[in-house]
Amino acid sequence: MTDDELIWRIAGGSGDGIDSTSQNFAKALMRSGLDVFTHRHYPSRIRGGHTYVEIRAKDGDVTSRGDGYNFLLALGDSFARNPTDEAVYGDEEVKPLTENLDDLREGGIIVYDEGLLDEDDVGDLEEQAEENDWHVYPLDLRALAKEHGREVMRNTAGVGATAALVDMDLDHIEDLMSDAMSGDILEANLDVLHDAYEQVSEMEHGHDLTVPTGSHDEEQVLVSGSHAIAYGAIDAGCRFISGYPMTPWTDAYTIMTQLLPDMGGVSEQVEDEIAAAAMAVGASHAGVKAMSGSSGGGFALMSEPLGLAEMTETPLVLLEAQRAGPSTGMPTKPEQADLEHVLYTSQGDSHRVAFGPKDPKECYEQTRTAFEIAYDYQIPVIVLYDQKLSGEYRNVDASFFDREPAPDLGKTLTEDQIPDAPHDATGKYHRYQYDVDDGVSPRTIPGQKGGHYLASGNEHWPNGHISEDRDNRVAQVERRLQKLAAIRDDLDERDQQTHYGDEDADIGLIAWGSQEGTVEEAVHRLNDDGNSVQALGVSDMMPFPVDEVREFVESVDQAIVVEMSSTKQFRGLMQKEVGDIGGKLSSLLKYNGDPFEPHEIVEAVEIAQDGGGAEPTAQTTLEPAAGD
Amino acid sequence: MSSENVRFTDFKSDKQPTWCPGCGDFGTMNGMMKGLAETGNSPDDTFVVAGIGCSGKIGTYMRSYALHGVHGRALPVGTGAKLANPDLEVMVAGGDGDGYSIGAGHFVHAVRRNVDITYVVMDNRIYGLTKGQASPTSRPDFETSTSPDGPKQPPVNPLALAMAAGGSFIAQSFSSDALRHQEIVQEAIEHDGFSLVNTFSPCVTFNDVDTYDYFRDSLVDLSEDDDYDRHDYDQAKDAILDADKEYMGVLYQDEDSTPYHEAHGVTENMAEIPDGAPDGATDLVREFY
Repeated sequence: MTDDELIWRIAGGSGDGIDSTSQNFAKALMRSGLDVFTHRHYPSRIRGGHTYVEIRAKDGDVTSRGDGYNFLLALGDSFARNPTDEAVYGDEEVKPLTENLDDLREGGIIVYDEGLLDEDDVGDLEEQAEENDWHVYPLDLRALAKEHGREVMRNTAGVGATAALVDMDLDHIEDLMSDAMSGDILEANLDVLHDAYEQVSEMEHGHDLTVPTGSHDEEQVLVSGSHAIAYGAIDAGCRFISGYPMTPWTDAYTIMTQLLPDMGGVSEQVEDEIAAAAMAVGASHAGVKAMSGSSGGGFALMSEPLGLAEMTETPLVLLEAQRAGPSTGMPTKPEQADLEHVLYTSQGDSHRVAFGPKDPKECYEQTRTAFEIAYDYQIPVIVLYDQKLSGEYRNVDASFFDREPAPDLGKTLTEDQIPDAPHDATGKYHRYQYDVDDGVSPRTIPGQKGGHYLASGNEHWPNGHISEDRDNRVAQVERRLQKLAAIRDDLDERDQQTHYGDEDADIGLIAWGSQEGTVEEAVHRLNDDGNSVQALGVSDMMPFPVDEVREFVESVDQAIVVEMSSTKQFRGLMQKEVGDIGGKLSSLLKYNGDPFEPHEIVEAVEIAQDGGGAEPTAQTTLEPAAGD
Repeated sequence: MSSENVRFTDFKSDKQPTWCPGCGDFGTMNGMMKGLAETGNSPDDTFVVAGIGCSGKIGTYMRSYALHGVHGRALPVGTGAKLANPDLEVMVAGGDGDGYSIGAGHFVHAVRRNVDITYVVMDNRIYGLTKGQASPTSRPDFETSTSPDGPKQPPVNPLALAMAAGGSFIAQSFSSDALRHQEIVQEAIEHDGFSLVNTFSPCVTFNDVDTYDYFRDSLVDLSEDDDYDRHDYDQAKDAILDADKEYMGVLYQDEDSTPYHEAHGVTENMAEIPDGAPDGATDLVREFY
């Protein structure tokens, strides 16, 4: 086998340090000049249960998790066996060696901890290994770790074994360990690392897989979608976050909470998501850049304060980290099925903006843009991402984050300007003036002299007083709608959609958010194999880039909409916004809790080229065009 | 930005309230305006937040920065504004439905958060604007269109709720006792922490039980009781849980409580924090090299 990439899966129990071990290993690979991409799979529990992280490392652009994996480090679930050495979770104890084992590529490597996992429990491992040309290396990592003092170091032993098997230099791993540990603990870990490396080096190897050689020369950082969102928010001047924990949005919320106090900001954990969004409305109203967020279930509670922000024209940024629903659904699995919920929740006509970034870089960019749009146009903006992107680590050029902060509060009057601005007879400022550029009437901030006014969730006169007057209603509604038209023009200049592949291709793919990078890889792979395919990645979910999407669909014979939703929400949005294009749209859907792999998209395109028919895989659905 | 020359009429807008003639809310609002003026605040440094219902309209009738929000959510909005700018005088107004029913969750947590805001609840023991349904403070036998046999549940005791949540200023007033109401609101504004003023504010149209006469005859003014010490937790507890009598005045005050801003070191107007390069964020990025 001649894989030009390593896709390393480390599998074990929740709470066994899989996350931190994989992060350091990913960093080591990144430092060797490779592109890295991580994919995290975990259950909704604190200890025990099967969890794994995959790290894909390759020289050059990696935009997806890839297909399957070619190296399995099965650590075993220490919680399932310890302290009694009895299995507590039935068949869960062998999951690191069995779950999705089918996805291990031909010629792949298996290292498992025979101190915790018994090959006999797996049944036909030997048979399967022979059939697939897998190379199995049982090692007693647990005993090796114990020899040097602590059983938890078996992760380190596993890394040492990996390095020996794929001819990887230990330098970067040692550096990272020295950064994270010191004293006896560091010494013991280095000993375990070297011991494992040497033991495995002395074994007889029958596999071909080696770690590829990286060629990055610019310094890289390893950043998750959640980190990138937090950096974007901070650089945009955000200094306030209120929230309530919910997986997976808690990732970004936690990072903001770590960052804000040192820069004079506030993070407040509140009683529920209604309060979270309402408190951010209050803070933003009082002149600080503010945000809140949640995942689907919590976001449902935010629909009231969201509507309040729309009606009072209070700038606000909300995050929505999707997970599989409905209701509690699958808390730790991704889906893209909160799209309609986010676009349309709350009573009355929607006046909001929503972005769906595709990767950590776009998470940073579009969170910054979210704050700029929110404050420039006095409107709520939602950054809609998902569980996949939230915890997905990618390497990014370090220089990408060397950006000037943009703390501007938008169209706000200074105290000097206030006396010349229109007021009512008693001195209330006309905060909601009819005839203003782009529909944006300047704000004053509580505390500013001469600027007091009423902000009301009721329809209101220019000074904010309640009004049910017909002419005023029409003027205010049309002014607020004018903002959305102006935002669309503004977004056209920012050009947040991405085109991939061959512009003359007859077959097009359309995706949004976290699945876009996988579509990108599929397009390149198809075109490298002599096909002609193009793709459009959409980030502006509202206001929708109607012209761009129409142009794309018109340029192809058929367009396959790729999304993680069973009810085709993104395709529905396209048909609603663009109109008469339904006859060209078919859907590739996946809703089993696992994001797309590139080969699934490649297969779907091949089937579509042949005129449809067979299902691409058991876990995806290809639905033909159904008209408008 | 407080001004020495502010009079209470400066807090009054030119809009005539649409409250029914004789409504208790007139007196409640007057006391709020007087309290704000007496404590040296001006319309430009005051932020009045209200929810929904008759009480929710107060931002139209007053003159100050104000926000008329959604039902039950006035406290989190007011809290957010005060956290963002501690220099603002934040006063939250609401009704008994807004504060003790739909917003009860926020109420309890606002009390324990102890942010320095004043919460005036216009308690008329009925839902007025929706034309006379039971509220969480209605009597168990109070018959209404949606509770024909009465709610058959004990009313919420807001003062006890506040005490259980660690309240540092718990008071009760009566809208028609203008002087005492104003004094109590004033003390609430001056208190360093979260202050609750539950103000009996009779509904003359729909509530024929909890009337002006009832409150006038039954309320016991604690300021006339020389033996009552508002700092004595046990005494306050007895008064608050007293099933036979209703009291007026400051029932409990803990002047040594630590308000949020002090506890968390959040003392600056965040809008004025220098924007400079966010070093902290850069450092965190560096961790990922």
